Amino acid sequence: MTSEFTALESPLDAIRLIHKALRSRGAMVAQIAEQAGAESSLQAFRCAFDSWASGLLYFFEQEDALMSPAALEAESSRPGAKSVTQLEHGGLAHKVKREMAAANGRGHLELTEMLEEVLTVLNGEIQRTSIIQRTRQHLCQRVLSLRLALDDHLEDEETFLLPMLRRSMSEDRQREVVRRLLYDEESPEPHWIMNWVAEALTPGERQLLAGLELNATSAT
Amino acid sequence: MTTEITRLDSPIDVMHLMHKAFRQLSERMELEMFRRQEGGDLSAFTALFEIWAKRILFHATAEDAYMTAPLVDSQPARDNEAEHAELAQQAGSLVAFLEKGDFAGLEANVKAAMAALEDQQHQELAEKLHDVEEVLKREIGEDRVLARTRRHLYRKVVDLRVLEYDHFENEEAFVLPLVRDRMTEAEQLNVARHLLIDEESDDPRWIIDWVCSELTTGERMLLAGLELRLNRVSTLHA
Repeated sequence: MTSEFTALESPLDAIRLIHKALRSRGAMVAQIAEQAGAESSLQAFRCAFDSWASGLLYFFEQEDALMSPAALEAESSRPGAKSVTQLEHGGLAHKVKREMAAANGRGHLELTEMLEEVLTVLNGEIQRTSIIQRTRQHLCQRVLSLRLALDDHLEDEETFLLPMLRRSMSEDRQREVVRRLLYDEESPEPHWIMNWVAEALTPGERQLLAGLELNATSAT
Repeated sequence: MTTEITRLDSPIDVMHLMHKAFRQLSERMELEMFRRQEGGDLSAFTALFEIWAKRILFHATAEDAYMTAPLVDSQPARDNEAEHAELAQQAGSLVAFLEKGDFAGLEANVKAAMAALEDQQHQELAEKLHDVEEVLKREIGEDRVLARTRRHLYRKVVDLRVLEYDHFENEEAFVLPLVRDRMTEAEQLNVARHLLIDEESDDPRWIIDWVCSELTTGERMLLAGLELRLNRVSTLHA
């Protein structure tokens, strides 16, 4: 359903590729949930879900650190940065857009709660094989709710937050943010998240990421 | 997915036939909404929803009045009634969402924006609700807002269907055994009659005819057999 990305107009557009991976893995989790029958174990679902959840939680944490209102304010004080308030005109439209951008962190909290609801169903019902059909339905329902909420969140982020960040960040700074999103410097395997994203992309899209020339070490 | 029901050990077991009919209708309703997530005319979905809503409301009302009301000192019976109320509430919420139209999917965003701005601009915000909605529509894009509304509607339909299935499962597991234990066959037939025949309607057979239409040939014969028993009891008491 998602069409292929063929160009990144700015480094921050790489986030759209990350979003594509998040959606794609969510669709895979939903498919596995649908196929989990009364006779089969839910292990395959748990593996796929754990992988998806790991990626989601990692990006939520990184985005909160790099793209929150506090981070935006810090951006405006960096040398050479453009003040967000200077760029925006006053009026209702500006206020609405700022509020939608600022709501990004709250969206992460809500999505994290929804992830936990899926885990509650998994952990609470997994031993009761006699109602496995009901468990499957509840899992499918929770995963659907989570995917739809994630769709809304990613759409809002692309509509309201990314444009604001593009306007306030230099290209080098954007590249640094994307590097920190795609390389987990606190992990013994810092490439895990880049590989996790790349698996869900087309070869052309992987080339786009490679073209950003993100290095494992900080550019600044 | 639904296995054929091959016997009715007691009159109240007709409930399994009715639940099967409901499940099949709900699945068609959900599939119709699934297909409309990207757009298109909703009239087929709303028609199915109205058919489902009329039947579930009749069914729940009849159960409350004739099946669970006589089961005093019974928590499963009270839970059953509470689940009916929850189903009705969720169905009502879906109706309300439908009535808001194509841009209902913006509801959460509008609320978030209004709540945040309210601190800043006080009473004129109520007048700006429409303006806030227009800003969001313009920024997100009308096509995307429509798709979002359709996704939200689909989720509500799925939630309703899962709630209904859970309810049927609970009823079959916890209430029907009580009915079999505490009610005589004649009493069970009376319950079945009220569930299948709407004596206040110009077409009293609208429910039983609909249930029949959702069943296999074998299941229709089971239902026909039960109907004969209902008629015999009615004749005896006439």
